[in-house]
Amino acid sequence: MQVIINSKKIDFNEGETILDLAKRKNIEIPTLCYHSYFQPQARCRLCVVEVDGKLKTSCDTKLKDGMNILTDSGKVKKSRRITRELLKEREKRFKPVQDKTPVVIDHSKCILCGNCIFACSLIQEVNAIGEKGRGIKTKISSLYDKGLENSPCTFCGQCTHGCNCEAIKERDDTEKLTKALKSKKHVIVQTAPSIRASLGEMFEMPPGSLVTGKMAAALRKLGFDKVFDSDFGADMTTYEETHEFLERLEKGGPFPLFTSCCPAWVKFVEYGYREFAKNVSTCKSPITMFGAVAKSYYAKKSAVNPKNIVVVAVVPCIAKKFEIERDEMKNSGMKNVDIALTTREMGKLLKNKGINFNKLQESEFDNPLGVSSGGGAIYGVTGGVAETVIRSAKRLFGEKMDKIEFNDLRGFEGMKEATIELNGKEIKIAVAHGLSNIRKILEIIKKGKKYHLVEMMACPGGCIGGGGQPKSSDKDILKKRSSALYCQDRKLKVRVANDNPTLVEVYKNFLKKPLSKKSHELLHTR
Amino acid sequence: MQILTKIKEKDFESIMKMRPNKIIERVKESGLAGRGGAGFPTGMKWELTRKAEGQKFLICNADEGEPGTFKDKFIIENNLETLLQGIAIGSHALEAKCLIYLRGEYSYLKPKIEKMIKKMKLNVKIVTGAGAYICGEETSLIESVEGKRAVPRSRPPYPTVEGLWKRPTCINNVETLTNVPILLKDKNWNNNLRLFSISGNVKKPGVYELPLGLELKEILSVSEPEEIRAVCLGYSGGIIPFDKFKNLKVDYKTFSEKSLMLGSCTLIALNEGIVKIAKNIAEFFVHESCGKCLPCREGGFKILELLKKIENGKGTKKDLKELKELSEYMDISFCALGVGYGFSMRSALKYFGKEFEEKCR
Amino acid sequence: MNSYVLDELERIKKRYGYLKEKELVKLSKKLKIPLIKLYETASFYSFLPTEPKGRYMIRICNNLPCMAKGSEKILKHLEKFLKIIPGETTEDRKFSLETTSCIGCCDKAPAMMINDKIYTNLTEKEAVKIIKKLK
Repeated sequence: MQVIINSKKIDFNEGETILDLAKRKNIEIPTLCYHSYFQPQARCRLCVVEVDGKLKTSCDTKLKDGMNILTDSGKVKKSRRITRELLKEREKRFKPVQDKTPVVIDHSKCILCGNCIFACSLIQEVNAIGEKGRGIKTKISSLYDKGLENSPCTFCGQCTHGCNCEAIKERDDTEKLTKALKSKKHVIVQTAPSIRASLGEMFEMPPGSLVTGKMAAALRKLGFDKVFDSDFGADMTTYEETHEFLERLEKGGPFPLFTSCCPAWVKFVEYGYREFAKNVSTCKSPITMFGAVAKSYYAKKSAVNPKNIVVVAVVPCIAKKFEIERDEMKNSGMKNVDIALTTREMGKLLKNKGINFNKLQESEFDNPLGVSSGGGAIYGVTGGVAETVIRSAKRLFGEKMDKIEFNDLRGFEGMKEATIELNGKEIKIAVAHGLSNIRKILEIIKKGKKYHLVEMMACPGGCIGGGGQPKSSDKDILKKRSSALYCQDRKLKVRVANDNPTLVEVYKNFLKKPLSKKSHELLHTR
Repeated sequence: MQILTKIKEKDFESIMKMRPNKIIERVKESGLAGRGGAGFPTGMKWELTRKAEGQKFLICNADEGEPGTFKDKFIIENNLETLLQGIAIGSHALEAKCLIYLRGEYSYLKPKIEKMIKKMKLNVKIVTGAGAYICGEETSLIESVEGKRAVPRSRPPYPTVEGLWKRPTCINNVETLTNVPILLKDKNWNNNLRLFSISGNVKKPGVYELPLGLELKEILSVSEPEEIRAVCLGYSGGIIPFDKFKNLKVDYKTFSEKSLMLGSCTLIALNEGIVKIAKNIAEFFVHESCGKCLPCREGGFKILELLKKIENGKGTKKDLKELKELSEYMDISFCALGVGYGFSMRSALKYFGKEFEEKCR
Repeated sequence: MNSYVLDELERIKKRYGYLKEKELVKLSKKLKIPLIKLYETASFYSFLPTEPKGRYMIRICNNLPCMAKGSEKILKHLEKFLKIIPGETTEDRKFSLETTSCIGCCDKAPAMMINDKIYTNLTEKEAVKIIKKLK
């Protein structure tokens, strides 16, 4: 079966649309509302092409044998020009963004394609946003326009991945950072596990590139006083949470223990499943544990007044902007983490400052808070937290670990179950990623299914698929990013959190023991 | 009036005993086509729906929303029984569950319809609209019945294949369904008669049953027109200067040749200036646009802004040029609302171009 | 599908005058439809207000057939009498005023709807008389 595109005869496959074929053959057709995750909506009409003399949208017109298609005729160009002009006029009718929530909506850029709503309702099944009104008054909004902070929104940010127009996006906090860097304060940065597996994409590197060295170098160039690693915080979280878990095993409950490092998941529980709040671990998250240690142990060690320390975290997550404002994430009147920037924000900032990421010489993290284990690295993938807790638990029981990788906990099915032997007991573990799967598993648990430990990540794939991650149309993006993290885990000699030398030092000389009074004060929410 | 023909109960019962395929054959032979404006051959629509697999639906489209159109209301008020017989026959021929989608503005007629349904012992549910013109569009109507925003769907798949709750669905206009029992019973059924909704600057506005093929002035004469400058053929059909077109033959072919649409035979006789008329039409479409597609939502809004500007005496030649350009651009809208809006504007600019130019600097 | 969403929303509107959140929450649980979807639907239709409106919703048709018979004058008259413009509600929350698209009374123009009732062949005097009766 053949069609003629711009005077060339091209074969096509049954069921393909004009746009499908154009993408396959590298024929340029501009689009706006089209998104590879969702069914073509044909709303923006930017993708029109001339088909046998008539203008048709290429995203939803199926190819038929003998069609004569022109993708760049005068008629097509005129239509595109008018569409673009109308969009510019639309922009002028709206005020600039004034929202202060972690996720903001810039109505001036919104083309009302509805992709954000699809992500929220079809993928995450949260249903926090919708299309209100009709015609020219249509607007993407929360229920009764009360604002995202008063809705089921967890700030997971998956909506931002649906948006091709920068209309729904994370709040821009880069100004905050620029200001801090210009000040006389001691500004330190920590990078979440997922950043090193994805920041490169902001600079056109292939997905899955492990860019730890360049990432550290770029941040140093930006002007941070110290470049540390959230993976250290992840090791702390593992250590505390493992002890918390073992305590529950001894006491006989409450089960399951839910992980707590995902703030969108925590918000999800607080909004709709409060009955499970007591099951959630009291551990803070890696970045906030890091911040607490930075403004106490590290401040003392480096003789810096903690009030002059600004802790910045580069995270794949938009909900972190919400987490760091929580009352629990403070110690001695100071926030554990002051600024959270997404991978996208950091990538843009580095570009704006003219930093040539690709040409940078690899650098290393600073000591002491830049030291981490492989267990910290895999926090970014679904199943990683559960796996690293098991490694730590087995190490605590002095078990011989002939295998350190637990494949039963790896993989991208929405819900995974595994039974692992720990100190002679059978431990039932479950792992869920994506809020729709989290909801499913909570309903299963409500009906009586028993687990000991459940890892919950709000974003599909875990943090590597986070709301603040670079936008990608690569179908295997999660696989590629996770491979980079598993690779890093394998590269490191130290693969169990307990063996992290800085961690050992921090407990020996500062915290004394996990779950101690001091540990609870700094590293737990209660 | 033919449309007010009452079918005796025993004749209705004998029709209901006919084989479905025979009924469909007779409807096909009659040449009856949709009276809602689109004019799709009814027999073919019934045949396509019946052929499809699974539970089917027949929906009577009583969402008459085209400004100046009130013929369906006339039928509901004056020959409800025959309409319901038509629905029952359709339900029998298609083996379909039936619904009436009644526009919210006609909700005061709901008790009367329910009473008659009960009396005739029929199984027909009424769903009431809530003030959205777009629900007259088939796929929007379906979305509305499904409890959603009445935003039109892509076609294909057509409703006869995948409609209400994804089942094969046949949607027919009130006037179309009312004609079914009449054409099946009356050997002299005249397919050339139409119900003209005539309103505006006339002494006797109303519904008039007249044959196609008469001249425009003949048709309007029954309503005793007053001063007429322009005739609006429904909001999507076009606007024409009366003096120039008073001898125009009113039938689908002639209208099509003149780039006009006869649609559901709506005639609004007006004595206003063209800019005021066009602005009124634009305001309607901007208010009723569902907002799904960019051309209708943004382009339509811009057209209204330009017309307001021109009406206020602030319009320039550049604005007029842009107005012409946008009226053509509207043709890529997702559905017939946007396309109709553009069509209407183009006819105004074509036939009253001078009046527009005089108003622009 | 036993209940139609539009019918349910209309029922709530009739009882409370608008679609208040509490009722939509109840309906959402009853129909097992996400709350935001019900809100999205309601906000689409002209006759399903999501904010409180006056006890009597006055809708005057302003399309061409009614305009040709003087609807503009009637609207102006009502605006003066009620001291509100289309889109607003009187202070005593009794009347809301809106213009509406054609309601199919073109042969008896000008026409208006007050809640579900239709009033036709209006004059300025008539229109005010009708409203006074409802006061």
